[in-house]
Amino acid sequence: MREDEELLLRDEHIKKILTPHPLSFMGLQSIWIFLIVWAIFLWWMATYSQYASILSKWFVLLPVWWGVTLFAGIVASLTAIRWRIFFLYASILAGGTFLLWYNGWLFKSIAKDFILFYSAGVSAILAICSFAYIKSHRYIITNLRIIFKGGILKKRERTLRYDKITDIDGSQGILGQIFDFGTIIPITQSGFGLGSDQTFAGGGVETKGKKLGIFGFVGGGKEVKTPRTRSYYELHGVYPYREVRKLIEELVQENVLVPYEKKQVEIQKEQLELQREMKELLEKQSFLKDD
Amino acid sequence: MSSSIIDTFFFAPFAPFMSAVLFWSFQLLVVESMKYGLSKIWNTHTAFCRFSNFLGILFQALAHAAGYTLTGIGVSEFSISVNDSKVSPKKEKEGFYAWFANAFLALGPFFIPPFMVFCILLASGFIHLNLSKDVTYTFAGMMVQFSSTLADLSHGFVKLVASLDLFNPFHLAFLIILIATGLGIRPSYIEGGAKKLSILHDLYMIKNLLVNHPKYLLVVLGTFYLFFLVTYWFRIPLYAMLFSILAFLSIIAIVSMFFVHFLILILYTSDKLHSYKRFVPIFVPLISYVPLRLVFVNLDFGLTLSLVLSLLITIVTCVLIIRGVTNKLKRLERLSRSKVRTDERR
Repeated sequence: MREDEELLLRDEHIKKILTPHPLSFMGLQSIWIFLIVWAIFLWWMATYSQYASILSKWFVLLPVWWGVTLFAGIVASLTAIRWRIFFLYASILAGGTFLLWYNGWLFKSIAKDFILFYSAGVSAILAICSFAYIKSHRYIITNLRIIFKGGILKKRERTLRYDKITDIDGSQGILGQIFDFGTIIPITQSGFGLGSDQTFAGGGVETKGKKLGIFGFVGGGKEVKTPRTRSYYELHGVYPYREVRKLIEELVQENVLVPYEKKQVEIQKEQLELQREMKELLEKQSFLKDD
Repeated sequence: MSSSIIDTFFFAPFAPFMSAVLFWSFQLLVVESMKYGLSKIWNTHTAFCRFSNFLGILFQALAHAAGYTLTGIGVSEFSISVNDSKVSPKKEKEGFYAWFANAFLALGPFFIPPFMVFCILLASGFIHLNLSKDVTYTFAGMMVQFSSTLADLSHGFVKLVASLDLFNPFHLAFLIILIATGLGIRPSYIEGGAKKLSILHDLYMIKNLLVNHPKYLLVVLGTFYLFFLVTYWFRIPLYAMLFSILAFLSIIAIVSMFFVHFLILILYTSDKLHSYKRFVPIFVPLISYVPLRLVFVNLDFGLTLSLVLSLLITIVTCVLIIRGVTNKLKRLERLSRSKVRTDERR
């Protein structure tokens, strides 16, 4: 709090300090939730189900563990367009298999128990990491600007003045509607807060004769601008959504000049100019009198 | 002979129909009781109640969309939120088609959620439909066939529910589906809380359907009667079976709502306690179930005993807590005793 207050300018005061709702990062949380749920299910299948005799054999258990986890990793990576999920799962599996082999448990019945405890341990570490990541976000709403702060190791900071906001995008998923949180993206005149959805279709034909090869390629692309930015630069999963959104709208409204106010400012500028000219004239007059 | 003809062609078709309506009436009462329970925890467990409302709205929207699709009207827009849903028709139609779609909206939410459980039970082989039964086409005969089919269906379902193994991931998933079904039978409100849906609202909607367009109702009843005549002609036991399935859907809904009532009781009791004590009602079913499973591990009905006793222990604990916390006379007595003691000290 004290650190936040040091950031404040003159006549600036904090309206709200927000952090994202833990459930707003469900995509991130599902990485570790899947690992532990799948491990429990596999352990149960290999211990108590009717397939226990088959699954308790290492050459069945290990490929099933690898196959399903990697498949989930591919699906998650394709959905989130982040291959790091797949590589994370692959490295977890490789680490687990290495530990099994290193300790000589690979061919023993203890393998299924090891997979359960190993997955539980890795899930706990991932859960702590994701909790730390969520809590590293900090949004300070003041009367003059929004300060976005975040980052666990690399610190990021963005300041956005209300008069620079042209548009406010809000979104609330089903979980958000149930738990009353949502994401607000302030879009600036420079286009900060906008991302793009791209689709591309392509196809190629290649025929090779003895000497000549013909290659043909056709393709098409489409781009749609959409409100999107990193969670550090948006009000991600803020609670209570409606209240925060209303507050931001009001603050933007307060800082935006309406046409009538613009006219008033112009008149005031003209008056100031006249007063300056009058002052100069008076100074000249007094100078002439003195002479 | 003449009385037999009257019995076959006049009274017999009514027997399964009236029985199904009776089961549906019980379902309506249980739905109302669940809504009352939810209203008691609405302010303290808003997220849970919103989730239940979302499920209710989802099933209502699905019923509405099914009505439009079956009547050939089509769906042009479909959106759901926690507070409201929007299902727009593709074509503007009036008359019987619109009435039929509205009938789906009024009755569908009661039957569509349990129908999903019914499909799961049928696909997983826990229940079977027996088409080779002999039927007597009289009022009594139809009642017997209705009851016997319902008993067959219920037997498989009740057997599964009573022997739910909470350590089995499939059983656990089934229990979660069952609870979600119970929660989603009807939403508590629509239009952002502006319109509350109670038993009276549902009955009023159904009354409007029946009273405003009696000729459409006659068409539906006529279709059912025709169906009865066809099944009578070919001696297929489908007519009573259809109503047995509808009554069975009501039974599924009632059982699923029993589990929801159980959840509501736990949450309600938890609200009555303070600090760490509020977790006591939540942990009682878990703490009681594990030792009970270990105690009855070698018994034939070990799973059923563990589940039933765990449920009973939780219910009794909750009731005792509620009585203990809300027993004003007891508290007043305690207060007066402490007052006497302080007076004595003085």
